[in-house]
Amino acid sequence: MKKIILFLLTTLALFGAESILEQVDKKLSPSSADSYKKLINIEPDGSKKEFLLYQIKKGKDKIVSLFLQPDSEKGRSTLRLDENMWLYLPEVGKPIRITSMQSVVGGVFNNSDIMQLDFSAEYDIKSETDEGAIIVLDLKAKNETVAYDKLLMDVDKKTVTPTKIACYTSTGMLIKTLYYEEMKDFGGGIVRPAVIETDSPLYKGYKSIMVYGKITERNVSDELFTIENIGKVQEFRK
Amino acid sequence: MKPLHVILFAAVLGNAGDYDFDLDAIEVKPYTLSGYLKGENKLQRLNEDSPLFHTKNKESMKTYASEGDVKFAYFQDALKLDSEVMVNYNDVDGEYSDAYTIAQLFVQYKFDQNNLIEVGKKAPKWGKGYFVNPIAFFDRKKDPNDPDASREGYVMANYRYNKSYDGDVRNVSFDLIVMQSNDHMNSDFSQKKENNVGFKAYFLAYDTDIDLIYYHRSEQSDKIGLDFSKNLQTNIEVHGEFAKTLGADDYAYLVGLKYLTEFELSITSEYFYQKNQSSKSEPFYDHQYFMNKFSQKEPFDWLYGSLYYKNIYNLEDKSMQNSFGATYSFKNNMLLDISYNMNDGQIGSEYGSKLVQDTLWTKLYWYF
Repeated sequence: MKKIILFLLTTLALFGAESILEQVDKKLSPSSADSYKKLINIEPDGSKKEFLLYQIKKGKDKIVSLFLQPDSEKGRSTLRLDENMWLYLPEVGKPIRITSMQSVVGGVFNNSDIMQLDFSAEYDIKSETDEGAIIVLDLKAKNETVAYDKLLMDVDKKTVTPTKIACYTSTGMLIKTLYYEEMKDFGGGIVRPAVIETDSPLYKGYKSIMVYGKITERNVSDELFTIENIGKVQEFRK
Repeated sequence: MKPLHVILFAAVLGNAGDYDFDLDAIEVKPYTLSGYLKGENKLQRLNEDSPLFHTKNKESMKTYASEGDVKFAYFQDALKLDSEVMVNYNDVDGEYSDAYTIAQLFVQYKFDQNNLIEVGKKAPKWGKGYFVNPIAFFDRKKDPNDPDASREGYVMANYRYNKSYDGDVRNVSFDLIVMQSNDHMNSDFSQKKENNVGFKAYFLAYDTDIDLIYYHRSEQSDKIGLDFSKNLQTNIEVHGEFAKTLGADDYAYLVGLKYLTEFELSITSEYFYQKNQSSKSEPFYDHQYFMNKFSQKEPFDWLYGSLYYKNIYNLEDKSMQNSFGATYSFKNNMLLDISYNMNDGQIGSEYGSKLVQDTLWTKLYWYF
C-alpha cells in the first residue's frame, strides 16, 4: 500500500512539474509566433561577428529560420520539423539534411540552440528542487535524437522563465551553459528574457549572445514548414 | 590569470551595446538583392603523359578567373519575379574571354498555400547526392570540383502542389515539369525538337525524404527515378538515388552518407554506379566512382575556418583526384578558399590523362 501511495505521489509531483515546464514554454513564446533575433559571437580578443535571423515557429515541433545578415549568410534557411532538420543555401539552391549538433553560424550556439523547440516537447522532468526564489528542474531528453541528453534548468518562480540552463551529454560532460537575462515586455502579453548568453568549456574564452528584438504571435500554414518552402521564407516575412 | 580576467571584464563591458536591437534592420522590403564577386587564380603544373600535352603552349601558364553573381527577387502579392545573372571574365594563358549568363529568370504565382506555378528559366536541382545526381533529369551536371556552385537552368513550366499532414506522413508534394527543347530554346539540353514532361512525388514519411519520379521524353525512352534521405541518428544521414531508362538496360544509382563526429569532422561518402558510360567530356563518365569529403570545422579553435580533404576515385581505372584545402570566412563578408588539387593515375586512365597534374587554386569571394 505504501508503495502505491508513494507511486501516486511521485506521479502527481511529476505531473505538477511537467506543467511547470509547459508554463516555461508558454512564457518564452506563444505557441505560434514569428521573431527577430541577433546572434553575436565574441572571440577571446573581443572581436565579434553578428548574425540577424528571422524565425517562424508553429506548435511544438515546427520552426524555420532565415538569415538576414551578414551578407555572406543572407538567404540561408534552416527548417526543423520535429527532429528532422534541413539547411538551404541560396548558392546550392536545394535543401540538404543536417544534424542538430552542427552549427551553421560557428561559435558556441549550435543548430538546436538556434532552432529550439518547446522544452516540454523534447524533455521529461526527472526531478525538481525548490531552492527559494528558483526551482531547479533536472530534465532528461525524451530520446537520443535530442541534442543534449540532460539539462539542469533554474526557473525563476516569479517570472516562470529560465535564468540558467546547463547542458550535458549522456556521459555527464558539460557542453555549455545558457544564461537568460534582461526581462522585456515584447507586447501582446509576451514578457520574457530578451538576452541569452552562453559559454562553453569546449570553447574557452569564447562567448555567444542571442538577443530577441521582436516576438509577435502569428499563425501561418503548416506548408511553410516544408522543404518545398525552405527557400521561400522571405515571402512569409511581415 | 588576473590580466585575462581584466581583459574578459573589459570585453563584457564592451558588449553592453550588443543588447541593443536595430529594428530598422528588419524592415520588410518588396525585393531581395544578394550575390557575390569571385576572383580565382590557378597555379598549375602540366602532366607530360596527357594526350593533350603537345597541344599546350608551355610559355603561358597563368589562369585568372572572375565571376559576378547577382540574385534579385521582387515580390508583389501572389507574384514573385526571381532572377540570377552571372558574369564571367577569364584569362587563361593570356587568352581573354567573357560570358554573360541568365542562370535563372522565372515568375512564380501562388494560387494559395498549396498550389503554385513557376514559368521561366530555372534549375529544379532534383536529387540527394552531393557529388552527382543521376535523377537530376532537368539540370545541368554538377562540376565535381565545385558541386555547390550555381548552375544555369532551363526554360520550363513547373506546377507544384504541396500539403502538410499530421501523422507518419508529414508532407506530400507533387511537381509537374513541362519543358520543350529545340534549336532555339534549351538547345544545350537537346538541339532536336523534344517534349519533356517530368512528374515528381515527394513524401516526408517516417522521418524520411522520398522522391518518386516519372520522366517522359517524346523522342526517347521514358525514365523513372527515386531518391531518399534519412537521419539515422542526430549525426548520421544516409541517402540514395536510382534512375532507370525504361525498356533498356540502362540504369544508374548512388548511395551515400554524411557523418558528423563529436569533434565536428563532417564525412561525406558516396558510391556512384552507372551501367553505361556517358560521353567522356562529361564528369563521372565511367561506370563506378567512390567519392569522399572530410571537412573539419574550426580546427584548433580556429573560428570560422575549416580544413577539408576531397577524393574522387574512379574504381574502374584506379585513377583519382585529391584536394586538400582550407577555407576562412572573414567578418567583412569575404571568404577565402585555398586548395591544392592533384590528379593521379596511370597513363590512359581518366585522371592520369588530365592535362593538368596539380593545381594550387585560390578563390576569394565577396558577398553582398
